[in-house]
Amino acid sequence: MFKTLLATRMSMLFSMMFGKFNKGKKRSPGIKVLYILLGVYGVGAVMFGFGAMFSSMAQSLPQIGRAWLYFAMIAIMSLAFGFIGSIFMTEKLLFESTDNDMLLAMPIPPGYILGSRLVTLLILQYLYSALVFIPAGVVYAMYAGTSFLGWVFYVLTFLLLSPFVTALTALCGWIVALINSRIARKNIVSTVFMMVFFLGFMYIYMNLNNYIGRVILNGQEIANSWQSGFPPIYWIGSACADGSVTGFILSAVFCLVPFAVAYGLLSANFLKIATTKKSAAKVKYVRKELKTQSARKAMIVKEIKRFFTLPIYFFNCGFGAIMLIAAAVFIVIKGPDLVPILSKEFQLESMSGLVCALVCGVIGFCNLTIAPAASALSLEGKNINLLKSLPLAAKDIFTAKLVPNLVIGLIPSFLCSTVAVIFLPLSPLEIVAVFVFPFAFQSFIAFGGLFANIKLPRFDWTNETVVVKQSGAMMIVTLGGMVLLGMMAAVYAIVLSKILAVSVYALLISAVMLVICAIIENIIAKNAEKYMRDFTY
Amino acid sequence: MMRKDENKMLDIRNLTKTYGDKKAVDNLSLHIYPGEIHGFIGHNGAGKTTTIKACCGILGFEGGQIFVDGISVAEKPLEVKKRIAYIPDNPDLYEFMPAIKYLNFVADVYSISKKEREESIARYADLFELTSELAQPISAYSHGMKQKLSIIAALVHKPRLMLMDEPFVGLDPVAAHTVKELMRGICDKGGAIFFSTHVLEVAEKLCDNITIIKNGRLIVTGKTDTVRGNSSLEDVFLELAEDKSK
Repeated sequence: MFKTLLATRMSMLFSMMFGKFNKGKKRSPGIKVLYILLGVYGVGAVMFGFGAMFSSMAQSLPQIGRAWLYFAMIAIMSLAFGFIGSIFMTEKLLFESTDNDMLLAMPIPPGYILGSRLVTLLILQYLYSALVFIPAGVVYAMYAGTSFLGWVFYVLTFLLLSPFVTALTALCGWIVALINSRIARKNIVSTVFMMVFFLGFMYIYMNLNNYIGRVILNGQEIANSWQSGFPPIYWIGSACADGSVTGFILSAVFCLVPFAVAYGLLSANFLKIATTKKSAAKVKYVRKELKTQSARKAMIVKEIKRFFTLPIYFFNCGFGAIMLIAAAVFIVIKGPDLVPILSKEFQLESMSGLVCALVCGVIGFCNLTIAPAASALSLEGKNINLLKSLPLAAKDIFTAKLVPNLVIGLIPSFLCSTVAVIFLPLSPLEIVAVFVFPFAFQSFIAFGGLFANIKLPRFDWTNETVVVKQSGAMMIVTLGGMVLLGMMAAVYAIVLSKILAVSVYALLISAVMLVICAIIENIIAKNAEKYMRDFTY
Repeated sequence: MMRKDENKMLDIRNLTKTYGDKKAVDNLSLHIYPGEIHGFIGHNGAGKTTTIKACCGILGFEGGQIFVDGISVAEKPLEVKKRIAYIPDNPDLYEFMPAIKYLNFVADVYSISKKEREESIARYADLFELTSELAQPISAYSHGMKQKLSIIAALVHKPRLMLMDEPFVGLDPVAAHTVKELMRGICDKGGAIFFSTHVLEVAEKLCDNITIIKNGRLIVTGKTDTVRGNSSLEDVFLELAEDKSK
């Protein structure tokens, strides 16, 4: 029975991730190939990023006798990455599942139901962990190497750490679900929780090299404090670095006991969790004057409300806006100091062009993560029929999906550009470029995202997470956008740097992107009604 | 007295809708006049929802024509949608919105004046005993409450034609009675109702005319008394279902 439940759960997960987009329409071979390529690129890019991050550690830590710290870092990054990546899915799958009533009415022990869900989450965790463990292991093998037993324990640690992360996300998800059930504006808790954790993750990631530098200089003191303050980290590290059997046994216990405890706790309370209707705080209705607005504006406001109400949507498609604000603050504080540092780092006599390129590049990278238009249409889900029954022109519906993306992306981009102009040395043409390029690139992301979503809609989801994180349109826009940004930089660096100023290049490609946006806008306008007619749920 | 084509509130002519090789609706013709409550009955998968969605402009169709108040659904869908209200069998609403915001959103889409929408929302919310729940997010509503909200949203803009897919599912007896009274009130003022249902007793008591379809095809259409004859609608339905299966 457990196997049947697990098989059903896995097939649900598979169809969630790779299911049909628009009922009845089959994917063309070209699209399948594109997905595979984008998937490979996405996985490759993440692994490359982790590999690059760990390479400096792999070269320095073993040399100062702190190899265990290297593996400890792997465990921490794997934990953080897995937690961030799966907390929303965990909360939905464990605590907001819609098949509880159906399954509980069948002769299935509640522990089996919970167990099948935990195993599904565990498999997801293994995928996240692999993205960290594989490149980190390869890099370590290249620069240092450990004993055979160390490698065995490394593989076993990979297998044992994920249950710990699963337990952590399950328990945290339970706490969040309990809090959410008792407050009126439940999504605020999820959003704040995720933002705090992600900011923490980004802080650690961005300061990791500095921290490693301090470890190398004050290695003994820091290592001692870790060993005494966080022994499990030392156990994991020593098992992999030194092949320590004791370390491995202790770390195995540390990883497995919480999983068993989480399973026991949740299992004992599963029936209560699944069936108790918690009395959420009620918002009192007070009759007051209603505001009127045009249908078009009402649609745009609705989209913006959805963006700020759904934590996963806000977090996944709008975090770039927060990064842009953070970047603006960074420029204000550190801007004047940046030029001498960059000049020394790149050994340039003249900073001409570099500052412009960096500003455009950083803003462009943040713009990539501001793409709500790529999933705005799919998020209608089963409500697509409601939308189709209303007297709304299809073009207006699509415009309403596009405008929030532009607003959320362009305002912080403009802020960042303005601050860059004030605090960084830029020529008059470069000033124009740092405003125009982000405008063009963000518009390109927004229009491209909308068009991708029109062509690859997905209405049959049961969990918004799948649409926002894993839909074809979102993958094309974010990963494709990353490739494009990289290619723009590469083309300039390799081919054009000697003949064209950065600012001129930025303005030229901005013009190309804006022309493409105009073409997309025209195509959508001409075919809007047909596109809307063909959407089915 | 012969009623002219132009007077028909809903005129379905030879409607055909296919999904792949399967004809969900096959050459269906029926019409509804202002002031009429028209019941639409058929087995599961007969084509009722497909027909209703085609009339709303939600689904395209391969053959035939549909006119609402003399306006072609295929040629002027926006004009048609301004005149109709659609209530689906499953009330799929924007769950992230509080109910009052959702009703205000619908009123904005239909360009209803502030005074009119405030009066309508207050009136229907009181009628369905939803006033105290209007500030809650729709996600906190039960199925029945969502159904009531869906009906209120449909009534806010005073539609000429209401297309309802099993509107009584999930409604408590008081709410169901209220809906029936509202339906009769709309028709008395010159509107029309076209609704599908599996509850044949309700169809018998409420409907002026009945259409029965099976496998996408029209079986019988006409006045309720004529269709029913001397037996009950249930007996007629079962007999027709048995006849066609032989």
